[in-house]
Order: sequence, then structure tokens, then C-alpha cells
Amino acid sequence: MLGKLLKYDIKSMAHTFVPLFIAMLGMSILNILFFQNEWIAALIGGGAIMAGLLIALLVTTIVMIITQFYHSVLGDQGYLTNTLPVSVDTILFSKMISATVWIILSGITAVLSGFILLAGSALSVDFIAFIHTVGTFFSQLAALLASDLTQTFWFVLTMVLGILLILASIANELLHFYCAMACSQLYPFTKNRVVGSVIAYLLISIPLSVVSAFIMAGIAALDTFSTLPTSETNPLSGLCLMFFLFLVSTMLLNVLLYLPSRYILKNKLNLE
Amino acid sequence: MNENIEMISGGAVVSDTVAEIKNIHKGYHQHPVLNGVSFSIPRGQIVGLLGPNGCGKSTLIKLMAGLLQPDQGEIRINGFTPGRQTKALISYLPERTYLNDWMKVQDLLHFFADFYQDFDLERARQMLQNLQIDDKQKLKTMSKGTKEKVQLILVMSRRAQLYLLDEPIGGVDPAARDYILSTILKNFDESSSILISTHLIHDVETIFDQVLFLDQGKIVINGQVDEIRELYGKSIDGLFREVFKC
Repeated sequence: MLGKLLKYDIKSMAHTFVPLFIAMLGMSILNILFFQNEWIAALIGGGAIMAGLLIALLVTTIVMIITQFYHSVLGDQGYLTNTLPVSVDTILFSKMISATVWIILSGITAVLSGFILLAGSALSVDFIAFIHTVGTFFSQLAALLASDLTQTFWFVLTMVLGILLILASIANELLHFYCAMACSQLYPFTKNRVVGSVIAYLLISIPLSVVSAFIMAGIAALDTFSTLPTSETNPLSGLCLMFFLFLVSTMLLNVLLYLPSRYILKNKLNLE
Repeated sequence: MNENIEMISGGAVVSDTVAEIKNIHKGYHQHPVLNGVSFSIPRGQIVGLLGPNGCGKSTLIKLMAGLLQPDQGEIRINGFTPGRQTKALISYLPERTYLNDWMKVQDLLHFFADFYQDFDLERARQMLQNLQIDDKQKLKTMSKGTKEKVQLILVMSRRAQLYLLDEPIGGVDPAARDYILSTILKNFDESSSILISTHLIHDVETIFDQVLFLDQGKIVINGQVDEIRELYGKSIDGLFREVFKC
């Protein structure tokens, strides 16, 4: 059922995101043309549009993940979502995964736009050299890793932990929003559900920041990253440990946000 | 074996009762809405849930649909407490339009077919055709009444054990009302039951087997329509007007 729900959740956001992605990538290509032909006025206009689109992408991503959850779970559509033969966990995971997919795709689009602009402007200088430099970086990295299996292990582990940490941090932000919106089902937040959600978001932020600060301080106090037995031979081992500790603590916070959200949606749901 | 229990063709054991509601209490922040409601819905019956605005009809239906949790009491649908299992058995039509505006009607048909094993796609297409609704039309281009028709078609195209219809004809024109009522009757089979909440009693009275009068969170009349008519010497509509006289 998760797959089916995910399919519709991803689709429902595609209508907003896909045109925005196309506009961003299209505008990047147009800007290159302006640059190549030295149309200064058009380039200034294009640059302004590009900056506007970038802001729109950022705002849209945040607004969409909030409204998608609110409308589909707690708004009128909630009458359908919450009467589907699926568990609350399936609903929450589907929303989290679909939002994460769109956040990542938004990030990729922004980077890709930047890359197109960079590659386009480098074209007049020496695009081949630019590509060559990028190619050299990766081939040297591959050669370095191939020469030492231990280094490869630490590199891969760092990358994996880094990616997991990014995903856990995205989930943390999403769950913070979801938990705040779920609180709008509880009295007295029901008096004005939107304002209630905002207040709940701020209230949740307080303990969340305190716990996060303690975790940060605790990890910093460990001060073992540079004194690990392996740190001399491999500096990545310290980074790995840091990523791991941050990952565990972020996951812990995620559980602390997930459980009340799940409890409210399961037992205290009170649709308008 | 309990006399209320019988075997059906697939070998599954089912009760004669689709829904059993026992001493349900529900309130919203100290404001009681339902005060000890108890009744049962036998299989193969169309039950009218009647009462003035704000008497708790929608709350009761939401509790049965699993959208609310009771403060006290017990609800059993086919023997299960409301949850994932009962949501697969219940086809629920809320008062509100819950359809996703970006979807076309055909998307919704696939959505329902994806999530409900008992959804009859052919039946839905036939009903859409009868009401001249184009399945390629987007919901955001539809009027409120047409959306309500689409929603009712989706709900009635399931072969569910229990249909919970909250004001199914409130927002549609009288001509469509007749079609909708005949659709409900046509699609109804003896192994399922329907609970319809409405205040437009005159229009639907003829289809009820049983009626429940809900007043201030309590069931004040519960019985078979024929028996009630005989007992009070009035139509259900007439009796409603008398019981809930302002």
C-alpha cells in the first residue's frame, strides 16, 4: 500500500514542481544564449528571472510540503486519506518519502541550473578545459582510492553516512512540520488550526533546540575525532565518527517527533 | 453456535449484524455530543439516521468510519473495532468533498481501484455515463453538485459490507436525487447494509427499512419503518416533524 500511496503523493506535487523545474533549466539555457551573444540587457533581465525562479523554487518546496500534508491528511481530502485501508505509519512515511523526493529533485535542479550557467559561461573561455578539469578530479580520486583499500573503505563509509545524515536531517525538518500540524487537531489549537499549527511549530522548536544544543555540545565535548587510533593514518575516520553520532542523535529526535504525530493522527484526529 | 452467526458461500463465518454500537459517548472539549448511543445494523437493511442539525449524526458516522475515537463505549463492524480492517469493509461518503482537484475522473477511478479491492470499475463507468459525466474531465472544472455526484458514484461503486452515507443528497438537484436514490437501491445487495443520515426525509423515506431518531446525543426512536408507521399512525417525515418540533 505504501507504494500506491507514494505514487499518488508524488504525482500530486509533480503538477507544481515539473513546470518550475522546466522553467529553471530553460532559463539557464536562455541565459547562456544571452551570454554567448553578449546581449547585456537580456542577460540582466534573464539573471533577475533566474534569481526569482531560484527563490520561487525554495519557497515552493517549503510551501508544497506543508500544504500537501495539511490538505491531504488534515483538510477535506483527509476524509479520503484517513479512511483508506492503510495504517497511519503508511500515510506518514508516504508523505515523508514523497516530500524528500521533491526536495532532492529541487536541489538537483538548482545545481544543474548552476552547472549549465557555469558550463555555458566557460564555453567562451575554454569549455573543454573545464570538462577536462572535472574529469581529472574524478579520475585522480578513483586512482587514489584504487591504490588503497582502507582509504576506499573510509571514503565510502563517510559518503554513505553523509548521505544518511542529509536524509535524516530532511526527515527531521519534515517531522517538525508534521508534528506541528498534527497538534492542530488538539484543543485549544482547534480554535484556529492554521495559527495553532504555527504556534505548535514554535513551541516544539524550543525543546528541539535545547535537545539539539545538548547533543551538539556532547559530541563536541567528546573531542575524540582527532585522537582516534586510526586518525593519523586516515583522517576520514574522525569525520565518520562525527557523522555517525550526528546521525544517531538526529534519528533519536526524529523518533521523538514521529511518535506524537502518529499518536495524534491515530487517536486524536478531529477533522473539521 | 450463536444463532446470530451463519455461514456464507465462501466458508467465512459472518454475523447477521454488520454494525454493533454499544453505549457510545463522545464529546469535544467538555461539550458532549453523543451520550450513550446504542444500536445495531442488521445485514441487508437500509437504515435512516435522522435528526436535526447538530444532533451528532456526522459524529456518529465518523466514529463508525474510524475518523474519530469514542470517549467511551464500543463499536464493532463485522466484529472488528474500527481500524484498517474495517476501512476496507466500509464505503464512506462524508458531507464534504474530499476529491483532489488536480485529478481527472478517470484518475479517481484508478485511485479507488488501487486501494479498494471491492471497487467495481465497470459499475462506476456505467453510472458516470448515465449521469453524462465525462471521465476525462478535471475535477477543478466541475460544479460542486457534479463533484458530489462523482463522489457518490465512487462510494456506491464499491461492493462494501457497510455504506455510511452522510447527507448524500443534500447538495444535488431534485432530478439527480431520484437517480442517486435509485442507484443506491440498484447497487444494494442483501449481504451489505446502508446507513444514511439526512434531514431530507420526505425524499428518502420510501427506501428505509429501519430508522434511528437521534436527539441531543441520544437515540429516541429505533425501529422498523413499517412498525413505526403503524405505531404512531404517521409517515416518518410526519413523525420527524412532530418529534423535532421547534
